[in-house]
Amino acid sequence: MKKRNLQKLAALGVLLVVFFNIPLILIFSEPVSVAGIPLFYFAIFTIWLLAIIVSYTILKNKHG
Amino acid sequence: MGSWSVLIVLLCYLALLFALAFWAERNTANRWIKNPYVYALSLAVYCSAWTYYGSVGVAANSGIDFLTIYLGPVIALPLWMFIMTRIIKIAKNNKIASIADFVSLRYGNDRQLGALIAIICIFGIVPYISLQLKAVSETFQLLSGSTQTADNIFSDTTFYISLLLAVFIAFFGTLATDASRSRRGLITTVAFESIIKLVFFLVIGSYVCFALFDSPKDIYNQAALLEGFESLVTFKGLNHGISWFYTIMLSFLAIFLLPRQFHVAVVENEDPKYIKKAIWFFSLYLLLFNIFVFYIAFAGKLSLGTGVNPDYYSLLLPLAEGNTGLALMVFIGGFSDVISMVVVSTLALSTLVSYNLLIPYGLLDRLFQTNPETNTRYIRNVRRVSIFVLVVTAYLFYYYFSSQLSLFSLGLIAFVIIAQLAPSFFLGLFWNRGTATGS
Repeated sequence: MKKRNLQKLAALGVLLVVFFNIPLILIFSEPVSVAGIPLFYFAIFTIWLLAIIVSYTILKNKHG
Repeated sequence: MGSWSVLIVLLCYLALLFALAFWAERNTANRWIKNPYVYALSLAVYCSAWTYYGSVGVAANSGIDFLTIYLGPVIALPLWMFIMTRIIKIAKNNKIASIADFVSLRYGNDRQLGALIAIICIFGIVPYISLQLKAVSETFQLLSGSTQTADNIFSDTTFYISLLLAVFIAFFGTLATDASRSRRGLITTVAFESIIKLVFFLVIGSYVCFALFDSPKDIYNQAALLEGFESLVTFKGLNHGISWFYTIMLSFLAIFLLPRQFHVAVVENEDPKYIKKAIWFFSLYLLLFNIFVFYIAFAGKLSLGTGVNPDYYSLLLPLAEGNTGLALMVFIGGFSDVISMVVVSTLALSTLVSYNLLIPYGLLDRLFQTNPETNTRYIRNVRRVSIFVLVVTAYLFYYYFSSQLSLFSLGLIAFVIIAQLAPSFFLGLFWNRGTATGS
């Protein structure tokens, strides 16, 4: 695997630690909803889904 | 539904698993068995009954905290590309069969260190296994509608179920004496159970959202009127944020260090390239497993009230509607969780017990004296006995102690105990000058 892609994955891991924790996550700690999903859950699930898409894009290259 | 009919369904399901394991063991090269998705699905042994029933209970009682157990692995997964590939490479070159082997190898194959790790793991995991047995027996009682508790061990159904599981593990887990060789049959059943439990959980989730209520939005609107709703969907101050971070770190470590995780991810890995698929696929699997938790929890709160154990909302909701078929399906899903967790944990622990405790300390002299063939048979028997002893110990622990503890708390205790291994594990991986005494 290319070093560059490894670095991207490491950066993704670090970003996830930052986004899933205080203080950033406190922005979404409000009792309101987005189309029936509590904002807090909505935020966590969106970040989660983005992480999956990003890691998929980095890893899909067979020779990378 | 009578307890006999539930039991018959259970036995049929177990027979199906036996058949599947047997078939997979015969056709190891089949492309349905040898592919990265089976590997990624077998990682989902991470989701035990704790996920299946416990999360809902936590979401209903204390709110968002159940998410931390999955966020740790989600953070860890992108990092697997260096950490796990490295671990697997070391493990393959040295024929590593367990986490104790791995750590003690990094410190010069120290025998005492290996034994110490084995003991830590046993103390952490046996109660955790007994917890799973507890989930089986409680859901069994709910479904069969029997309120009587077994007056002794031999009239308790759970005892016989645990024994059957022990037979299953002993048979498919010890086909090869070399514990570092992979067990396709077992892993295939674990992957199959991972599909079953996810699909059934999604079905019950959609049933709750769209059949019992009009839409997810409907549940939210009704739930928002409940007392204390706000505290269940938001942070409760700074301390909560810190314990949130702390639990994420624990689950981050657990995905590497739990003996069953180490077993499926490292020992049973066939090709380090599989990691690439596993990283995004497993993350997606965990996401799907968590989507409906909130709705099941609040639907349960709304329609069942506070008189019942929230852990079992997903089972009680269809039962309350008289939908026994669906309840049975949820039960089988939960049972799959339990089987895969108990099977892999016991297998990993039995390797620890026999290779890191019994053989080095009690039996080594004896093995030197006899010829290799009797040794092979002998080692295999030692492992089989340790499997039975572990399962029975876990059962007894459940029978005598765990009746008061909840799924979530006991699971967390196991995580904390296993996290004690973290410093020596990660330092050993990247730092070559540490000593056995230090760790």
